Amino acid sequence: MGNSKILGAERIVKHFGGVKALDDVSLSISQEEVLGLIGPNGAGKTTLFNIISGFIKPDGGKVIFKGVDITSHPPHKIARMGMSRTFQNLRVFSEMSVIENIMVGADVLTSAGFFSNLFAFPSIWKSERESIEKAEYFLEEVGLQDFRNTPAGDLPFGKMRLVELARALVTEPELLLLDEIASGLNTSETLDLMELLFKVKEKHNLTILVVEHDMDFLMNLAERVVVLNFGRVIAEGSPDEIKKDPQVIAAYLGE
Amino acid sequence: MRLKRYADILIFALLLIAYPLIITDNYGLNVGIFALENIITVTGLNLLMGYAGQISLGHAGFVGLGAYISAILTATYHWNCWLAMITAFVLVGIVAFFVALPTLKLRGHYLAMATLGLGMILYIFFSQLVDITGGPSGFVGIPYMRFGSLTFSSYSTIYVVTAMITFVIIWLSKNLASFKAGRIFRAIHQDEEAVVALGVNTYHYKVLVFVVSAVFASIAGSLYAHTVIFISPASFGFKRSIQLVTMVMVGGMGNIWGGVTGAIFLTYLPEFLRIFEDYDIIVYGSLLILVIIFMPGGIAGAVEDIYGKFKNTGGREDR
Repeated sequence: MGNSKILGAERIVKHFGGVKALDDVSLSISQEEVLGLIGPNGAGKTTLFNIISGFIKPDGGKVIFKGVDITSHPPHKIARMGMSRTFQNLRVFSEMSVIENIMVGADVLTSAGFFSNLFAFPSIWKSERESIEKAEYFLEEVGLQDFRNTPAGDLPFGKMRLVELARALVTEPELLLLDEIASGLNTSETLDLMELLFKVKEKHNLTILVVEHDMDFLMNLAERVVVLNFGRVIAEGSPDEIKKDPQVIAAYLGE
Repeated sequence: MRLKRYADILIFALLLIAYPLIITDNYGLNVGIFALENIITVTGLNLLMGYAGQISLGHAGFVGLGAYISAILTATYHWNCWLAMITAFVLVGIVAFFVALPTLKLRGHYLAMATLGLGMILYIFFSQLVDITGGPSGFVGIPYMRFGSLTFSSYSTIYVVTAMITFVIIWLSKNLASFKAGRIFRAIHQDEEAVVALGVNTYHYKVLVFVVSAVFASIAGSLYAHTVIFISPASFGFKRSIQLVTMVMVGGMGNIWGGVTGAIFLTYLPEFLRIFEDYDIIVYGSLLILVIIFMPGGIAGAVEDIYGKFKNTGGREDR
């Protein structure tokens, strides 16, 4: 495992009105690490996630990605730098087919511009072929080849999650952010997903930050875990250490 | 693959050619020309509304702006009509760009409100700048289109020119809809944040499609001015904007041929409803309500559903 830091959130503060959603939160992720972020409901996990991916701006603190201060970058620019995310609530393009969903992700990396698109210049045909090839590769990787032309909205829930994952992977991220990707999945789907995540991580040398409500899933997937509660980091360590941490137990089981 | 992609547009070309061979009377040709001009505007509006999910309630303003700029440059300043038409769409594109710039930064109904306002402002300009536009009584003396020594003054020649331009517009729209941009437009329509998360500057795409749709409207306006050679503000008011939106919705949002169908249907419908005399507006309104209730996907959506049932695949798949 590489030791260099790929992402660092430094002293992040975020208020929503009078509520302190995040209070001086710092975390860092090393290259090719799987870091888990857990915490009870309302702990600030998704807020932190949205700040890292640039969808909301913090009131204080910095986010450093690959050595660049991205705190004020717009989210699409951050994504272009190699950070891709999935969403807690499913966000597939439901009226588009599975392959088209993934192709939108692939389109981002193709070079053809607006005018070659408008006039159907050869470069757009080339881009189109590249997008299809790439999308088909990831379609197979997540095992959705049988659903290639199905409207994504018609898929069962678990398969939609895979569409989202494939769509995130096709943008060739270095850092993958997964926001409660296992929520709503049954046990066998969760196991399959875990296996798939291990596989894609190895294959594409991914660094993964995974937010999860479900402890078991996270404990198996993550190499290191950060625990948030009421907008503060209350514990950090290996899954085994975290499971024994009295503060964590109190946060989950206590009041 | 390429041939299959262009099969529909070839059929469209054949229909464009067949129409004046079958319908040769002036009235029929005239309605045909209006239908084509509507197709141009509605196709642009469909890219904006049906594909990218952004609403414009002021597109008649862009049609009018195109018409007036063409009219003024050709009649008052004796410009070549094609140069005037190009100048018109460049200017309309610039206006649209500056309207889009602030409003599309925001999510929600800001574009609808801004375009509603813009349409009204333009309407006021058309009717109040009497010295330039002729005011409420209209602008007279617009020349016909010319090419070298040819003057397009008969309905059949105007039809040919309009049909050729319509074909180009449809071809360009089809290109936009078929590749990368079309996919991104549709994705923005369904979930803009998810598109942003993939690394797409959605703002850039939204401004782009808005400008394209305004430019198409301007071209239709210029053609209209040179067809009827007399224009007045009444043709470019709020009512017209709503008619254009209705054409997109009735035809089928997010489907080029749906918009085309809607434009044709609602151009001819009032003509057929003349037999109802004073009651035509009631029949027109009732028909619209029925279409919206029973065909939520528009005419194109209904056709696709029927086709889908035949193929037993559920329909509306391979857009």
